[in-house]
Parts: sequence; C-alpha cells; structure tokens
Amino acid sequence: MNLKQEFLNITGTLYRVALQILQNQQDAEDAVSDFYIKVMEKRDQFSRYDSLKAALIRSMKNHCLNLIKSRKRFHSVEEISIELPSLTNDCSGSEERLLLVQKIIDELSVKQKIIIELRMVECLPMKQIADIMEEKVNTVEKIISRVRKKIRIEYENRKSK
Amino acid sequence: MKTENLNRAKNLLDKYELGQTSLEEENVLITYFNSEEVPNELANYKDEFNYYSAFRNVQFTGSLQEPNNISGNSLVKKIYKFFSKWYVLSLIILVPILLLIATYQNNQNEEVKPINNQSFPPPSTNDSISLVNQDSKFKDSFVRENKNSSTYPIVSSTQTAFDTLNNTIELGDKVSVTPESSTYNVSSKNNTIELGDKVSVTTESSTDNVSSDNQHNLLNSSTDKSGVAQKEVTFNLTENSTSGKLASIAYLANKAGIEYTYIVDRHKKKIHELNIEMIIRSTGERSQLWIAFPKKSSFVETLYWTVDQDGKAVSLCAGKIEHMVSAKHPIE
Repeated sequence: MNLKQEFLNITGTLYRVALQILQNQQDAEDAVSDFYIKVMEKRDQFSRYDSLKAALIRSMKNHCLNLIKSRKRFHSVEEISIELPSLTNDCSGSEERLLLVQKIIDELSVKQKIIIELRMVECLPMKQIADIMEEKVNTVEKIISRVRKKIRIEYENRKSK
Repeated sequence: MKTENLNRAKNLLDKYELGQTSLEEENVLITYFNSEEVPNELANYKDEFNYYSAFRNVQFTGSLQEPNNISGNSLVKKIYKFFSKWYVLSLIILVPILLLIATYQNNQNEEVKPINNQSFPPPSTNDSISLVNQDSKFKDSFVRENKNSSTYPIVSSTQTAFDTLNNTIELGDKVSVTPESSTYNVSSKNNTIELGDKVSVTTESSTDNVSSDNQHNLLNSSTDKSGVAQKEVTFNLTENSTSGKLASIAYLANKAGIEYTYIVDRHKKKIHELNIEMIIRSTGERSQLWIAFPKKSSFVETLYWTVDQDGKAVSLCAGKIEHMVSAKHPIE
C-alpha cells in the first residue's frame, strides 16, 4: 500500500500515541504534522519495511520520545499542561471516573503507557506491539500484566477516597 | 444468562490480569462492560474498560501539510543518490588515477624485466633489447650489505661473478639509440637519452654506451677537443640507492676497465656512508668518493667517468671526501 494512504489510515492511531506520550493536545497535533512531513521527505526509507503500519507507529513513537527529551532540557516535567480531550459527552459522574483512570495511566512510565494504549485502544496483536516497541513478545506480555494489576489496585485505592 | 456472562467475564479478567487474553477475549470484555449488566463488584473494571472505549473515539483534528519538495522517486534523484554513495565515488576517482599510473609505469618500465636464471639469447642486431635491471641475485655472490646500523662495513669487490650475467647489453656493443618515447630530449651538443627508451642494436658506426640502470643514467655524448667521440657515463646516488644499483654500477665500471671497490653503510635501508674507489686499470688514474652523512639525512652525489669509443674508461670524475659525521669505513 502506498505510504501516504497508509499514513492517512492510521492518523488516528498516531495521534493517540502522541497524546499518551506528550500529554498535551496541541503538542500531539504538532507532532503528527511534523511527523507527516518527515515521512513524506524520507519515503524511500520506509520502502524496505514489510509492515508499513508497524514501521510508521514505531517511527512516530520515537519521534515523540525525542521531543520529550528535547523538552526536558527547557522545562521540568511538571510544567507541561496535561490537556487531554474530554472523553464523554454526558455529564454524569462518569467523566470523573474516566479522568481518574487517565490520571493513573499518566503516572505510568512512557513505555507502559504506549503499550497499554496500543493494546487496549488500538487493539493491535502482541507481535505487532513487540515489533513497534522493539521488545520481545514475552516482555510486552509481562509489562501489560503488571500495568493491568497496577491500574486495578491504584483505582481501588483512589476511588475509595 | 447474566450469571453466565458474569462468570465468563470473571474468568477472562483473571486471564486479563496475567496478560494472557487474546484480542477477541479482550473484545468480549469490552462489549460486556459497555453493557448495563455489570454488578458492582466489577465496577472498577467497568470504568477502566470504558476509558479504553472512550479513548478510541479521540480523533485527530489537526491538518497535515505536504512538504515543499516532493520530487519523490524521480530519476534525477535516484541517479544523484547512486552517485553519492561512497563506493561509487571512490571508484570513479580511483580507477582513472590507477589507470594513469599504470600507463605511466608501463612507459617507464616497459623495458625492465627482472632477471631470472634463464639465459637470454644474444641480441641479434635488429632486435630491440630490453634494458634489464640488475637485481640482487648476482650481487649476492660477492657482496653482503648489512641493512641495520652496525659498525662493520661492507666491502665489495668487483672482480668476480659478473660474467655470469649475460643478459645485459655488453658494453662495447655497437648500439644505436633511437628515441621512441616522448621523453627524449635532444640538445644540440649532447644527446641526452632518458633510459626507458627502446634501444635497438644495429651495426651502425656511431656507438653509444648504454648502461642498464634505468632511471639514473644520463648519456652524454660530446666531443672533446681532439674530435674523438667521448661519452660520459653518469650515475646519481642518493640515500635511497639500492644495493642492486650500486652493484650494477660496479659491474659497469668493471666492464669499462675500472678497478672498482666500494663500501656502503646503511641505517634502516638508507645509505649514510658511501666509500667508492675507482682506478682505471690502464692508466692508473684514481678517484675516490667517500661521503659520510648523518643517519636519515638525504644527499645526492654524481659519479661519472668518460669512456672512449671502445667503451674503455679514459677519465674519472674528480674525487670527493666529505665527512659530515665521522666516517667509519675506509677501504683497506
């Protein structure tokens, strides 16, 4: 499949991954745009990959991680305003709960955040996630298991307060 | 139905926390938690799974701009990329240079072949003769040089063993030199020939003496006052002169009727002391060149003698004794 077409297909995925990493809507949008330009300029480098989707996502992940590294030089981490899009339309208390889940996930390490996102939101198979994260499948499974337990425990703790 | 789903959900959740659920199973969980039948005990999970479902709805709302210079995979770009690869560039640069060097070398060394033990047929008069370089084989029989700086000198005597060599032009052969390469320079008085030119042997009356050291010999022909043709045989000696070269000079001197003795002392293959004594056997004229330099320094000395038309030496260059450091090796 053509590179541009593939990119457009997974723009949502790329954006969501960027959101998880950068914690900021504006930054994520900029990151996706910049990444698009980068990809279009270097199309030849993508021709050697079997799975364009995994290659693009992996590349996007690395792009965002680099952004974080360069960010860290100028701001301390706490200053970044965490603005994520609202997830629900209804005004029942569900928004609070969703925010709580979000908060817990934000406190995970970057790697864990990305893996959970890829699995639960994007529904990617383990093999592809391992490919994107440049880890072994076993490692990814262990990380997911640890994260899920942590989310459950943390949520129980905080919800009761 | 509810309890079945509940039990199934609970089982899946156990697997879920171990990271063992498949995509389909996780999908089942998601749909279950989106439904309304979830009991309170699993409320926490419901919130979590709802979060994931909600996050799937987040869309990209920015805009994607095309970069300016999408020339993509145009042919020009491909050619440019190909030529910018390092191995292509280096090939393009190196191959012509190597070819040039090779052709240049061929012009210089075309006539030079290493000596091996086979005896060449005597040169017939119309053949062109390779001017051979004398290699170290024949010098081994009479001279030993030490290549490291040690104190004992090297004495060479020039009397023996030259005659085993029969693959050079015998001096005294009638040789006419016809210049065939472009490096031939003729001045009005002297016929100066760079060796490396093809030499053909004919029976013409004019004779030139050709010595076989191919890079350092200049052939001068001049006439002295009495009108008798005299040729000067010249050698340039530097700190890099090889032992083969020195031995070939010795051989030629011997052929010209010069009693030729030399000692050479080297340091790491570079000459730093050179002691040459020449005596023309017929006239007894003597000349000595004895120079001593600091090790690893460079020098250029010219050694020559003049020969008459028979190839016999008639006069030697003036001697020179110059010691820039203390010389160690006198000829006894």
